[in-house]
Amino acid sequence: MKRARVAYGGAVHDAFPHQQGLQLADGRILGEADVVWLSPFEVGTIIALGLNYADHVKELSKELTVTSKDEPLVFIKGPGSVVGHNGQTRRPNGVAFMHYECELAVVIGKTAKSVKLQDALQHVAGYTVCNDYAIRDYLENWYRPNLRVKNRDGGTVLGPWFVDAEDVPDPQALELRTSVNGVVTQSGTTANMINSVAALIEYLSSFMTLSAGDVILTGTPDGVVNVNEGDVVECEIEGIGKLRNTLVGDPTFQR
Amino acid sequence: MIEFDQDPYRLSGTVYGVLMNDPKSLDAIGGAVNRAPYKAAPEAPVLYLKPRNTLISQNTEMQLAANEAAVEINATIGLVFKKAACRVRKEDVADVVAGMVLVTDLTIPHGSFYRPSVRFKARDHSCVVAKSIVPLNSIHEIGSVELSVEINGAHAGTYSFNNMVRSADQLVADVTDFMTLSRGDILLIGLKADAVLAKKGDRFKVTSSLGTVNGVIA
Repeated sequence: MKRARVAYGGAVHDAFPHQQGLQLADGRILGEADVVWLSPFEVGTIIALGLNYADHVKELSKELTVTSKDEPLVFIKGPGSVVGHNGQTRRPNGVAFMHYECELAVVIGKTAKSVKLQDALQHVAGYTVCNDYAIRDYLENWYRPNLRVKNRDGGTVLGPWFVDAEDVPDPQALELRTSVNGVVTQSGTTANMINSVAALIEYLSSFMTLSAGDVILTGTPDGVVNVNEGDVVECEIEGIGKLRNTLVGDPTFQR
Repeated sequence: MIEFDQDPYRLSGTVYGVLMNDPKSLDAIGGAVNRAPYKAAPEAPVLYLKPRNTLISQNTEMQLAANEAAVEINATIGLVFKKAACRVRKEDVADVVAGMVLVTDLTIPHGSFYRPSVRFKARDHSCVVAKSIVPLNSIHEIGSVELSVEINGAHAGTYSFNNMVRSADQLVADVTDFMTLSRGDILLIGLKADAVLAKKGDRFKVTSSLGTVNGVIA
């Protein structure tokens, strides 16, 4: 099953896919643009991966001193960075390289502590799509990727749908694709993850307890390109959903 | 878990900390600051999060792994936000900060600060938050707070937070310049270099005018 959380008519609703857009739990059928899309689940700890696709590591190899054999590159993001489907993200004036990252977001469904690889997927409630924006102009080599790059308001786009884990038999066999203004700029497959979803849950739960609502953003394949003010970015994962976001400039934020 | 309800405030459970805010932390790295992988001293605040699995109010029992000898007792002061804070000017910090809370960020010592080191920072029950928020009338009150650390009942160190790279008000201004903090968020003002270490089996206690936190390293 797929479900969303949307704001409409002064309340927050669960909503479900419908051929005309979506249907609220109370039966009303609405167009996609009629509602405000929120994150499709209550976000707990946001755990993000860098360099988790072999092809993306190759893409960045000139500036890296790591290899794919190193410990997973993990960082934590704050809930203030979250924005839903069809939302806006600010691209500050004067930056040269801001890019999207299309990622499979894995939502934990039950407490996971010291979980073994073969049991790990039992702790997954479901999946959604994430666009995990970065502004490379602000990269510094201290706790890199530093929060000024990664933890900006509107920099963690989640949605539109939460898809139950039982509907995703193999999370390592999903096509990912990003388009900018309708032109495909990134494509890959979750088969190319260096650390699989199960391996990430095993690794993370070896030192921290994961709880329902925690989400693992599993990294992005190669093909990240600069995006500009006004660009419409769509991140799509096969069977999970297509997540749309628009880049806006400082004037929209009255800056 | 922590006591989220701190009348009249409710903590959000989001705790941000900052690395390298004690000038001695960077001094300890010396000339290597300018070599790979760092290549330069940090410009923006070096931030990290203490996720919700780390939060606990009192009597923490934090586990070390078999190959880990000690943990840093990073007692510090948390600023508790009373309203959303975005692009706050240094002189306006009192408008958004409700008060101070004693926090101890238990961290596994690590020598490289190139990667976020979540494995050393995000252990269960490694962020001990005292039960009371002390109202802050002036940001300058922070400079007079002293935190006293005991290990197994013996005095082991005293921390104060004058002369940090960024003062608390400057830190709030620089952090909220690029990210909005929410009501109930906590921002730690920095960790002291040369933190007291506790070994497996040690009991620690931090006392101050802000309250007390304690625990055991298991």
